[in-house]
Amino acid sequence: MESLSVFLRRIWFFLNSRKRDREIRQEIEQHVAEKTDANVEAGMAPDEARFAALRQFGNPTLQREQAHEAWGFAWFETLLQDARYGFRILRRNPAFTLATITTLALGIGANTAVFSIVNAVLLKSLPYAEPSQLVALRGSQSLPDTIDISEQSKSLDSVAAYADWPLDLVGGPEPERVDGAMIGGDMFRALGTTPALGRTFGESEDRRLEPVVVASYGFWQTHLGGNREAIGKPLQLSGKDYTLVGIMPPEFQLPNSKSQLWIPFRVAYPEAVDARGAHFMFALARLRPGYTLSQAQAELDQIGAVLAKLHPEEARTFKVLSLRDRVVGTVKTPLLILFGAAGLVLLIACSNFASLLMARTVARAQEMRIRSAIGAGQLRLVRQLLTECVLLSILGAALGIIIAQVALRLLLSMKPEEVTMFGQISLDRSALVFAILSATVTGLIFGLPPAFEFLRSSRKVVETTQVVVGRTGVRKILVIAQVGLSLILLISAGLLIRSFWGLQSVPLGFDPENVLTLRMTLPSARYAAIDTQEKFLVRLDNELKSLPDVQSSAIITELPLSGSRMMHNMSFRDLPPVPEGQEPEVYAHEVSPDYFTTMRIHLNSGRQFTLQDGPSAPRVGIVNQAFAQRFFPNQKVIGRDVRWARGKDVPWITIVGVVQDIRAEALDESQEPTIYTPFTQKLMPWTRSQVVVIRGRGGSAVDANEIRNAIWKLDNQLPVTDVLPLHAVISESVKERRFNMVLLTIFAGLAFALASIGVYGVIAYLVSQRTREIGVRVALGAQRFDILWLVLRQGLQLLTVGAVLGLCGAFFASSLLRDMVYGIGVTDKATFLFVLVALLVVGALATYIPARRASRLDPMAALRVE
Amino acid sequence: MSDQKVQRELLPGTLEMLILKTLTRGPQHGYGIAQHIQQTSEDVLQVEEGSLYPALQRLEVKGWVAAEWGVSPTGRRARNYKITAAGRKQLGLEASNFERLITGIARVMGTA
Repeated sequence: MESLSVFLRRIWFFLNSRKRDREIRQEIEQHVAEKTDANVEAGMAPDEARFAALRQFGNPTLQREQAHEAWGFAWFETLLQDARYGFRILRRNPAFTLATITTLALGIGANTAVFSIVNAVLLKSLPYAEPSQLVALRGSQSLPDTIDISEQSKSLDSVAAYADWPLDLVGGPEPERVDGAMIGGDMFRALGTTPALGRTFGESEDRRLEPVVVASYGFWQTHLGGNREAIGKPLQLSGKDYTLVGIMPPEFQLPNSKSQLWIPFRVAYPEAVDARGAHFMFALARLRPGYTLSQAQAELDQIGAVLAKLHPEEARTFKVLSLRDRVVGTVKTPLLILFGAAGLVLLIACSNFASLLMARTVARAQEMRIRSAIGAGQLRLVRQLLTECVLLSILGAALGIIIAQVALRLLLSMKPEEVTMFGQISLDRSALVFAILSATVTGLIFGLPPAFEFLRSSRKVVETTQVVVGRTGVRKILVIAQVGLSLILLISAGLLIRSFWGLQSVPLGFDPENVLTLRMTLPSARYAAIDTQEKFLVRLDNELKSLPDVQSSAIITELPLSGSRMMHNMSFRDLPPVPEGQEPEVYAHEVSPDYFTTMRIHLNSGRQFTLQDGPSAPRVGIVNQAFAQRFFPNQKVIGRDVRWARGKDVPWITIVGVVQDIRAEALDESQEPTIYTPFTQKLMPWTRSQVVVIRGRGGSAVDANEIRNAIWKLDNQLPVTDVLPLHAVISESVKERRFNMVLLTIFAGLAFALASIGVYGVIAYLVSQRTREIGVRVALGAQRFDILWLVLRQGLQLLTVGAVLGLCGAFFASSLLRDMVYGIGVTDKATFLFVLVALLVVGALATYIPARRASRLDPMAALRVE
Repeated sequence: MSDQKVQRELLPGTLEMLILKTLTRGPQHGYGIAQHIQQTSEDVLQVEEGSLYPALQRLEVKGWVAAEWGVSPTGRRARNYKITAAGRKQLGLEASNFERLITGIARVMGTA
């Protein structure tokens, strides 16, 4: 409407507004002075002259303001004014301001952090080409099976598999263990990611036995200096030479794998190429266009049947699912539960915000009426409140962003493994915006109507404060909801906490105190033959025993609770024969003679291994209680013969001892049948990797460097990795549980705190509303206790209703936690009761404080309150 | 002084037209403009003098008048307003609108 020049002039005037205002004031003064002079000349007395001049002039102040308005930006200036006033008000009520901002910030921060993770893990697409078409097989597969599926399947394209394979990189200052993976099939083609540099390899290169390797971007940066000339260079991995042919882009990973170097399977592990029974690979494929998952499954069922006929001893069923489900399967439910919890916290935070705002607005009713009486329009007052509301939201949001960042970093540091593969997880912008908007909108919805209410009512300045019953009702409902929701969260957290503590006190069966563990692998290049491995291990055993700090040491193939285990099929001389392919599977470990002593595992019967159980002695084995119970219930076990089910010319193993069960798979699972065999009678040639456990003497901790040096004294090219106290290994095994528990507890704590504040706020408000009534009661003879009980009763009513609703909700919600709870039922009475009582006690306390204040009211003052 | 004083409320926008017309006679300060309107209308139009200033600001922002500090005839420091070319054009527009308005009213009144 206005032309550009006019607009520019406005801006110019506005920038000089202070000078302009001053000039207009001077101008007006001069005008009045001149008129006064004229009047004096006309004969009036000086005073009268001035009065007459002023009367003629009008109201200078009003004129000045209107003159200013002629060119000012009215809306903007009032906004600034509102904002400045809002800030002053907020500063003068620090408790309210702090409570509101903190409430908002906590709700926004928690929600954004959790949603960022949920979004990245569950919603964002995997970092491959057209990831929705990628599928994976459940469980682990063998290479021959994968190849057969690839050849026979019509619905699946580029069937490939990988197996994590630690590689010894020699050439740096120390021999180093790098996470690698062996790849069979056209893995890179299946995933569809183009290399950043060079090329990749596939099935054809594998068949031609080309010793090539592809590296990750990270490896390229850290180990090859990001040098483009690195392509074509040789890398010596685990004793074999490979040529580097390609570098993958940053953030590329094989699904569920931390591997950084990728080599062809046939080159890396030729012995296992035809091992149909070696199931240790992660298989995936791409759905051909036009085929569905169910069609692929049907096809796989057929292929499985065909293979079962050809190779009955390795008959298997194959289940296919989307790659995403395979990767996040275990994490999905807990994440969603956590997201639900965060949502509840946001809900409670918003309702708290609303409640606080409503209370505030009511308290300012007087101020609003006065302002309205001296001329402020309705719109103006509403705008004022709106501005304050927005100010609070902005401050809360700013703090919320900080909290969200901190929370996210905290969460990611504790994260379960599955989350790593989704790369850098950062704050999700849309989540942040959503949280901020919801907080602001809630504030507006609940904060403004009370304001309208007051404005519409009588404008008399001196008036008794009406109890706006409608608003009280809303606040009561809010508090009840808060109490209920926080009860749900608290009970859920309580269940998880109890489970976790239960796990912590589970008897392990071994003593992890002061035990250090580390892993080493004997490279096949120098330790191909079994006897070279045995000799080395015996020498190592002796070397470690000679160290002064070491009380005892031992070697085992896999640590308990480390997550990896070796299984084998067994056949029994004394039991009825079982058809091929259906022999029972047991866990199998190779140990040195002192293993059970070092780990303090109790020997129930028989004897331990000794050095006499050498390569030429009769084959012996020790089994655990579960083994004895499963196969020879209530019978003598010592002296029985067993052997590996498949393979040619496998000797019989005589059982010489039975040890106690330990927690080997997971803290919440009891041990499956297990057999231990001595290292000196190495019956499993492919296990070249073992863990050394060292128990320190007395109270001093074992020095890792000492142990490393002892190993390197014998062979200085052996990589030594995963140096961890046994306690750490155990702790690691419950990492995910801990993560869920901590998170849920934090949320529950937040919700509880917010709900308590909410209860306090509402009761305090109700008391202030009833101040006159209380004064009357006291005047009529009520005792302090009567008033106390009056208020307490109101609070307890709210709490009870909220608690009942919360209990119902908790029954429902806890059934969702079924998979995460251990050792106690999902409706564990103790937890429910404890949490309920705690909530009621704190709630009662929150009610007590304002109740006490009410009971001490001076009746005279109370009666005089408006 | 006239016996019958006209209502102080002018038709909206008329004040600005009157100011512009006054200024065609030459630059003037606020007080002077007020005096001129009062005298020339033979006291019929008793404008609240203060209301000149918002009007003058509006005119200034729209670029129809320009102002600068100077000295009044009585020796006081005053801001003198001057009509601009754009102002003159605007005055012409408003004057002719006003004419048409008056003519219309007169016709209606004339048929009574």
